[in-house]
Amino acid sequence: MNQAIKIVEALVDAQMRELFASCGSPLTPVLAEPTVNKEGAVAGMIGFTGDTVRGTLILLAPFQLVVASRPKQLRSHELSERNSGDWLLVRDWTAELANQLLGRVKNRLAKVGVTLRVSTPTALSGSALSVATPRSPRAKQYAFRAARGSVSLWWDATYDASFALTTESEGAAQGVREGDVVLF
Amino acid sequence: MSTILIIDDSVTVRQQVAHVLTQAGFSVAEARDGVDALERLNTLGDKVKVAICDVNMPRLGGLELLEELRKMPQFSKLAVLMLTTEGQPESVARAKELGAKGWMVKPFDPTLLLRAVSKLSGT
Repeated sequence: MNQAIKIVEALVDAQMRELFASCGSPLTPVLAEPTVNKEGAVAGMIGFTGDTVRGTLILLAPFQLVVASRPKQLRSHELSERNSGDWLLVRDWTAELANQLLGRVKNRLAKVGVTLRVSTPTALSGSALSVATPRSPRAKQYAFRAARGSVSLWWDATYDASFALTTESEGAAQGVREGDVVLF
Repeated sequence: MSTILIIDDSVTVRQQVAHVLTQAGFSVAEARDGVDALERLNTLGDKVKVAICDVNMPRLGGLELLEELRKMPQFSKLAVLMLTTEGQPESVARAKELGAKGWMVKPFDPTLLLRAVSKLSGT
């Protein structure tokens, strides 16, 4: 089981970096706990459950980093921390980032026999945001640095003793990858 | 030019898709979930040629919306393109079975989105 969990944790790390790179905010992993400006921070959260694993993904980032990672079509409209309407947009995009990250992880875990069901994402912001004690003793915290600040990610997953990954079979039906379109 | 209904609980995604489509000359309408989409469709009627629809949404999700639309013959010509974070073959097959015309995984390529919408709307 431990090897399977390590594979999942590496997958989460890789997908987090791929997601932010695709959003124009490449991340560098850091070992030390990052300093997020909690006065201007926002957290996106989404829950997941499967037959042998369940938990929550939490993404914590500063306002300006989330703004910098918004879709490029919308970046010409600048957002300000002093505008409450802009905070709504930043919370919305942070929730969507959490959703897209879990979607990437879910799609890849499905190929190795782990089916996840996901909740709808949510986000919150405020002063002195901090994450409560993770539920799982196997909770994994990741820290990254980007040009516009630091990001924290918690993969707070509880695994049953029977948690395992299958081998990805070459003959299995392939899903649709990020960015691809299939017309029927 | 056709009207495209964008159904997503993220306002940012709706704005992004709307930006791409309006730049290309489409008119757009927006809905924040499946329930909202049904209300919009009932109001707009057959002006809407294509719906771009998320899967994981509150109140009524994308696959459940497809099930509802199947029961409504007035929307039998509506082409639904799913736009979601999910990409598993089982979900894609389920959407196809329920009458969706396509599946796209976020983050989307604007060129591919426009090509798909143009084809589905016949423009």
